[in-house]
Amino acid sequence: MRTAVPVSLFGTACVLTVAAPLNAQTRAAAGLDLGMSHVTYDDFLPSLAAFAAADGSLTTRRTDVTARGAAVRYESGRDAFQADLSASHLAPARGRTRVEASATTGASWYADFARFAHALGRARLLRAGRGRGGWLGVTLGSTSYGDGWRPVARYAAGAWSALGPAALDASFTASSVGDTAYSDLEGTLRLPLGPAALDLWAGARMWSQGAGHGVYGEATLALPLHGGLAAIVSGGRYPTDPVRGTIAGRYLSAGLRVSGVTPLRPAPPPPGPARPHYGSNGGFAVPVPAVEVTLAAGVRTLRVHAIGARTVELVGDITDWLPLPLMPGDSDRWELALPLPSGVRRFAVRVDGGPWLAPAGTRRVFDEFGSEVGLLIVP
Amino acid sequence: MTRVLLLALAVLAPCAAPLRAQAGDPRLARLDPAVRPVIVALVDSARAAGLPTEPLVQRALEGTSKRAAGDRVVAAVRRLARDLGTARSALGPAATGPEIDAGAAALYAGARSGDLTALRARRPRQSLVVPLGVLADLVATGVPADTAAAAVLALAATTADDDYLAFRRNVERDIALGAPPAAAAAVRSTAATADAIRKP
Repeated sequence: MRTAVPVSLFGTACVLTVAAPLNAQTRAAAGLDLGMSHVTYDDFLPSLAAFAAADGSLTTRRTDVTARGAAVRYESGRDAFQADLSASHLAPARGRTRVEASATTGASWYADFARFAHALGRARLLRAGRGRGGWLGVTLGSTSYGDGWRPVARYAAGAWSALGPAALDASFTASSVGDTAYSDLEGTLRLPLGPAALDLWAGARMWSQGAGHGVYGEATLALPLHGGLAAIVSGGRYPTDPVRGTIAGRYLSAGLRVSGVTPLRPAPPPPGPARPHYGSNGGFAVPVPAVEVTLAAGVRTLRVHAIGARTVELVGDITDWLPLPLMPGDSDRWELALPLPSGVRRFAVRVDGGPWLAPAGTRRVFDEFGSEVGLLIVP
Repeated sequence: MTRVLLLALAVLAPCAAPLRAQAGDPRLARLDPAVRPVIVALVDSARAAGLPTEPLVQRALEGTSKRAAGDRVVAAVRRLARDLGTARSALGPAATGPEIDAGAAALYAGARSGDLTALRARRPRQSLVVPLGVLADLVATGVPADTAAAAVLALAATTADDDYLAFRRNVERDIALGAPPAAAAAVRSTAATADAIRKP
């Protein structure tokens, strides 16, 4: 956890963002993080801390606006808060080259005696090749420690490359904040580990006038649990950031992240009247069945996993949009063996006469008729 | 002349009284009599133009099954017919029905016809069903259309269908972990491309 902003909150997103030039566009996304940290700031006593953070972004064709906020309560009972608002715009590509302009502003405060604010603008020249790319960037702006504004200037160059399933990037940054100046050499590596992902970040403050020296590094392990829920464990040491007013420290944090992304189009229909479904647990939950397709002896068999279901029906372009009951198999499996033509198939499943749902294992989209449908790619 | 009459029927039928059910696909008998003539006309026009008609029939049946209003069913089928035509033009005369259908899905998701043409150019002898399906899928996931198209195109020359599906799963997982969709697609694309290049 970095001062008021747990690294685990943004670890995955930050590494990926740095690792490849983006072409931000149309979507809305949001995330919520909750967790605990053990943090030791340089020259301070260790402390436990509970954190909560939320982020949201709204992205149009080439413009992205992101807001983030975080609150931390330390063992002492004191609180820290941080909020950031950033926007970026990508110019159309010219060959493999793009220009990105971005601006960010934010503030943080700790208890009632430390307040920071910053406003920065950045321009980057991005160039992407086959499996690799690089960028040059300049950042100008101001930062305030509560006693007036200081000019900020930052010059950076970086490169990224894909190494099999991993992505590696490295950058060199020279910064000046008022009379403080420093340079950093950093690298990040993202490693997929089965269903999990490990992000490693290492760096060195090579030269510094008033911002400390040393090497630092962090590791973040993200493990998906179910749907948009993931467990995240993160730890390491990070340097002082004179722009945002964070001081160097070590931390170990664990938390949960809930995230969601809206479908692109069309817009979801207005909610219809509630139609409760009584599942096997007797509750009001609407269990989403899962679907898988197996191929044996030239026949594709579609299996639906629906826990505790009494009946399972399927409707779609493989049934001429007539409800077709599936046959019960073993272990909450329901099966339907039928020819699945190659293409993008559209269908939905319902359990015990409940609502028609896009089953897990398909891409859920909202159709032109105001309901959801699952898309399945059949080779 | 026939095509002109069918086109006129497609335009005028919403205002006309229900017409006698057209001969042809018996499944269309399930449609609302008020919209059936228009759908039949659209299907016949598509057939005359050499486009696959099954997707149009299915879209009409889907709307009927969901009890959608007649004008919405007609609008959906009409748009699909237009997208099928655009996809066929973009993919070339040798495009198969499933490819045209998948291309229409990609266009509906936000891909440009130029993306389809570029994909065909990079993958001239292989089926485009899976790449186009993955393209539509990525955009539905939240990946910007031009980023999704760039990722799919980057993989086109060297990537097998199974690898495309693995790429899609990886992007989906990264997004579930909180990665921005555009970044997830870009990073996974470069990783998959590098992987494909190393393959003997």
